[in-house]
Amino acid sequence: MSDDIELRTERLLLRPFRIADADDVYAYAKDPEWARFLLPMIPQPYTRRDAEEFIARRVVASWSIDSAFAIVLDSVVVGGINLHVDERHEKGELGYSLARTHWGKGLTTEAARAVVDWGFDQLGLAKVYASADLRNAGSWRVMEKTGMTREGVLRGHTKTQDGRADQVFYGILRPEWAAAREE
Amino acid sequence: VVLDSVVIGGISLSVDDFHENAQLSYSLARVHWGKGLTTEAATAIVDWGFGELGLAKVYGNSDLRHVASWRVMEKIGMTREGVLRSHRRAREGRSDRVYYGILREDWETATAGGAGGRP
Repeated sequence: MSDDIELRTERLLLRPFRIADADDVYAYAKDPEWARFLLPMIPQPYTRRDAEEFIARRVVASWSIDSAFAIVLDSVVVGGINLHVDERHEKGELGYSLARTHWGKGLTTEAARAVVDWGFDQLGLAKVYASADLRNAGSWRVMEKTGMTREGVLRGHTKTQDGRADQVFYGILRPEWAAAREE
Repeated sequence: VVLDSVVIGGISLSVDDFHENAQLSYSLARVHWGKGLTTEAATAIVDWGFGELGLAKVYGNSDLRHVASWRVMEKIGMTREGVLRSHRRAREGRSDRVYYGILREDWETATAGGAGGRP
């Protein structure tokens, strides 16, 4: 059932990961710069086996709890975006990553808007939120461009490859999303 | 949390080994509110978390409307780090969650001041 879910944007196709995506994932995920700020921490050096395990976990995971889409550009998987749903509190946590060769083109923002729309529209969520390493401005700018508001910075909250990091949180509430859509 | 041989509440530290942080949570029987007992218990647990468990951070969160709860976090030296809006479903509608945290260096500075050094 979940295999049928596809979201289309101007340039992208978002669809569930498949076993055959391992080569594409390995191609971008072996880049240490891609991995630098990601949580949970990405194994270094990154092997093809790590890519296979990542996909295997995505394939067996419960779609209704953690919906993970491959970001496909011109038939190539260039990243991933997921919405981790907390049904009890009717909220979803958005997470994403994109191949470094495609940074700076607004592709993550394009994907994030589609998944946020889907979360409010199809899943009926009350809130979508996300967090990033405060130093990863490219990541939290996506949250701003998706219409999210900065809600806090949890200081020294996580352990990263280079010491402890502040984690910045952003969120968008259902009424805000609905009002933006009206415009 | 035991007072005069009676259990009047509970306090816990939920540890994330990987990130070396822990979430503090607590509750106290209403008849004992307003006496500083939760602050007393929380101070002991935070000291234990940094001193014995070697944590880098202890944090907590509460419903923003629950002033008595987040005042405890302020009294034990935590700093307000954010308000995650409408973050949970509550008995009446949705609720904002206020987050507080104390870093190891904050705790060391406060404890180095001796008995009077704690904020």
